[in-house]
Amino acid sequence: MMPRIHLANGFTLVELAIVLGIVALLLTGLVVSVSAQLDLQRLSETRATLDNTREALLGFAAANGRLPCPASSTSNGQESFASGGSTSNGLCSNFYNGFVPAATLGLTPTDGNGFLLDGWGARIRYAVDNSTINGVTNPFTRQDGMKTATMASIEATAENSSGGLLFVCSSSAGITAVNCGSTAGTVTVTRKTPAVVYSTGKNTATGGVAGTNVDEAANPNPNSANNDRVFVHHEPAAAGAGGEYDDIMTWLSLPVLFNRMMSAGRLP
Amino acid sequence: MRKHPTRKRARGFALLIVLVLTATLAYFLLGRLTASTPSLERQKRTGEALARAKEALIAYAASSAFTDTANALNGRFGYLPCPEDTGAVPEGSEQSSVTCGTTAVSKGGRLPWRALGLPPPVDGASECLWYAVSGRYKRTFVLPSATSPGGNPLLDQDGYLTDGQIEIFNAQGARLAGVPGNRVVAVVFAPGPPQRNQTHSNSSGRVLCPGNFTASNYLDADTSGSPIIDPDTGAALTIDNSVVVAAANGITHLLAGEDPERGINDRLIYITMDEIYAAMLPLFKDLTRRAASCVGYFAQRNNSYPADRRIPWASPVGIPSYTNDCDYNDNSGTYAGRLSNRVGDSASAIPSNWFVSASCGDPRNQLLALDTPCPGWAPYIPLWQRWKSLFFYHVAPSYAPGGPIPSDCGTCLQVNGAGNYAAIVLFAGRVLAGQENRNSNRDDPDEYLEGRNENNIDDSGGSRRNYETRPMSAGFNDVLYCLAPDLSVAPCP
Repeated sequence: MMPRIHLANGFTLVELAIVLGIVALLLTGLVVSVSAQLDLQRLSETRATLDNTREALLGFAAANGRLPCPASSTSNGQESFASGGSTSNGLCSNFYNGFVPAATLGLTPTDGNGFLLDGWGARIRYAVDNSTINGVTNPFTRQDGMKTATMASIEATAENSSGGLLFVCSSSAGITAVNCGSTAGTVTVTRKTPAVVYSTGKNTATGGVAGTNVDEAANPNPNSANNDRVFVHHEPAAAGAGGEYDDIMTWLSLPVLFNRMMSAGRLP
Repeated sequence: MRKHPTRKRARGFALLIVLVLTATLAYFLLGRLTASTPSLERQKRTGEALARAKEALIAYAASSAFTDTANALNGRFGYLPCPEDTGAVPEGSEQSSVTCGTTAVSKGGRLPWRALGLPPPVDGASECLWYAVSGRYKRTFVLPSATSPGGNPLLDQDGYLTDGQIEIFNAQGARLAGVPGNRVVAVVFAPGPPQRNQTHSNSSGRVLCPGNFTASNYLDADTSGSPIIDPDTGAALTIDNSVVVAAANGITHLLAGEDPERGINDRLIYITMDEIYAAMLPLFKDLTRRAASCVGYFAQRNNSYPADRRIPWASPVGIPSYTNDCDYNDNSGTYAGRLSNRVGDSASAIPSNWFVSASCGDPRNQLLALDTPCPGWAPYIPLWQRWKSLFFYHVAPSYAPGGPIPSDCGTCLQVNGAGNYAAIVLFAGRVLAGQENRNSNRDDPDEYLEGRNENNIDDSGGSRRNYETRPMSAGFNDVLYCLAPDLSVAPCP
């Protein structure tokens, strides 16, 4: 009698297998869903951080009459001037390959060293133009440099076929160190932005492949020592020479920068 | 004894069913949650993209007043870009004057994001934004000549704003924005996902904003069969967001908001003429500052400058012709009034001043027009000429000609009950509520200035000397620049 009672109290092996099977199926769905949700969340956070950075840069320019220098890898999130550089000459240590000066701008979230982080925990990059305009060197990072150079001259330099400020190209094919080149299919997305802000994307945090894609390599990152005024941005792409492209980029609109500074009395 | 184990077995199945039901419920609940979050995210992205586009369009208008100086200094500023409506221009650029149409003909197309300096702007459905601009406000690429400045898109010579050409209704048929006299200047659309027969095939060959230039493939028509009634004419409106009225001075009617019953899934944001005018204030402030500097420059021509810092009298508020430069003519003993161009009376009262009392055509008689020697002012002469009737001026008695050389600021001017100023230059700005009769009452400061400023300028004897500044609002828009006792110029505090 005892064995029969014990058998009656439990589940059969078949019942357990069915239950476990269903639970496993549901869990798989949930994990996939939660994982996709997390990625979406991180992308959304990163976009929001880039937007906040853009707003903070515009606010800084309105308050100080200049854009901040990028932070260097050792400046703990403070803007970093070169040796002999200061607000009066605007000479930065890392015009193209620096980081968002989160400590200077009061932005979060940061790591222990004061650098602004994207949704995957990697440091967000920031580059600022250093063209000489109307005889003014580093007009964007120099105190009242834009005022001295004048808006008309900055616009003329940005539109001049041999000039331009920072460039963003739709592909790295044919780009040079100074512009997007003339290869068919490579579109100049902008040639007149004073500052670019970007996250190196999810693949930086997962390690190994970050920045090795030929388009990502145009944007300074842990695996690319590229250091010029030309950047590449397009929608995320899984395939490509050297791996995937997943950088997330935004940039300052020159008219919007001017308008914010005009509203604050920093220009004209 | 046979029944007992069977009952136990039955309980086990009940547990199994409950488990499966609970798990299924949880799964679907979570599924709904994860499905609704991206939807909210899409709505948020659309809202942000529209707001950024609007800010950039206003910034375009504001900054081009200083970057497109060839146009701006001839009075052409305050305009918005043409849309991108053809593959003939680089992606994201404004179309050329050839396809943008003549003045006062409104135009629709894709938002020219590159001209605005923006990253390619997409809504939550990853569609690029569209844009419609009133013909009167669009850039026409026609350069005015120096002698014929042409019309300003924004503000006429008396300060009346130019009406837009767009009216916006909601799904219930109420007019959201754009009453006659204050119609909407421009609209940015987020098209949302394609509906019905709309195709987003990339026939344009664009890389960054793929798709085509056929507006009806993106923007929606009211398909409800119950037309919205025009509150002005009583006529039934067949609203189609993809259609911009192509007639000169035509009025375009648009539907805002997503409404399935009317078949609309476009979202839009609009720009008013008030917003464009507010963005132009830096230019008007700059112009006022420069005019005030020219007043200070007058004293530099006094023989005993810098000891002698006397500056010109004002012109009367009522003058024979408000379009004639020469009629802005200083009048001995007039302390408050319009800003003087001819300064003969003042020059005569101050021996050895370079300005002379001569015929109107003599440049040595004019402070602000012709080939005036005032440093840096020459490029701004067309702007002053266009809006000269909007400038007013008050000189403190101790700085006026006729008296002794000023030694201190005994009876100087004040702002908000404080400070000591040798003179104040005022720019009246646009017509506000209560000033609509300005062009038939140009001799009445009440039609131009607000608060104490109006009373003070109304007294040509200059006995009321306490001016006021306030934040810009619907009830106050005077721009004031103060000349300090040393004649340096700064915005009045």
